[in-house]
Amino acid sequence: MKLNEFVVADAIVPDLQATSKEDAIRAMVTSLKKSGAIPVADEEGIISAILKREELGSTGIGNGVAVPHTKHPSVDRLVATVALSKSGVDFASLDGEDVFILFLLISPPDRPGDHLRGLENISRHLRDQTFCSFLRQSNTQKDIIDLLDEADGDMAS
Amino acid sequence: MSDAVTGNVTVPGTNGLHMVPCSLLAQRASKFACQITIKKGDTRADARNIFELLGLGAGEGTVLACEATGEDAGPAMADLVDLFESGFEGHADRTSS
Repeated sequence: MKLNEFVVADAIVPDLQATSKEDAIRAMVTSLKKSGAIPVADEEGIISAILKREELGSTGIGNGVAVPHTKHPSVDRLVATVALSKSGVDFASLDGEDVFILFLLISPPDRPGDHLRGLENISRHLRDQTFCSFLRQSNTQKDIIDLLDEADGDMAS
Repeated sequence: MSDAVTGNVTVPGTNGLHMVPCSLLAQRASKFACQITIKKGDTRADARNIFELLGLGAGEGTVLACEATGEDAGPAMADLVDLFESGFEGHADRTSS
């Protein structure tokens, strides 16, 4: 499973303005809605589900990275978006540091394998400091898509 | 001193080793001084590192080989096995993530 197979290009947020966890999640889900990847009517339900998941423990997993996610019946395949923050988001991360790179995932409830493969793929890239560094320097949707393409190619080789 | 302790664990829960169990595992592993490595085939993960644990992509029923090395390797391995056998205290089945 490649990043660009489930990251919705039009929903990428290259310059996230939000500084709180809820505002960041809201902005990313809204961007997915605007891109047509999720139904308009399910926007609030998805935001609530992701925030509820965060109550179990922050998905800010260190290295300036957060991977908020949920399972939701409004999607029939794994969809995701990426957001980059220049100033940092207070995500109550496990290491106490602000978050600058966010991957938000929504997966169908009946396909736990896809969800796991999505997390696996993202985690493998995000533990690479060079990838994170290039990602944080990206300024446009195209920059980010090109970088994800490149990462997909590296993983395939 | 090489007090290596090894063991196999099976991934519980329909969701596999997703973020909640990985977080719990990393937290638990961090309480011990020993080095704990978890392997799925040729892929290795430091049990303290959530990124590496998620990178295993271990689904339900996957058998993982664990190795703990260091002075408290024995208690660490016992704790690790308990955690897997408890189904991560039910978190893996209860949550939607």
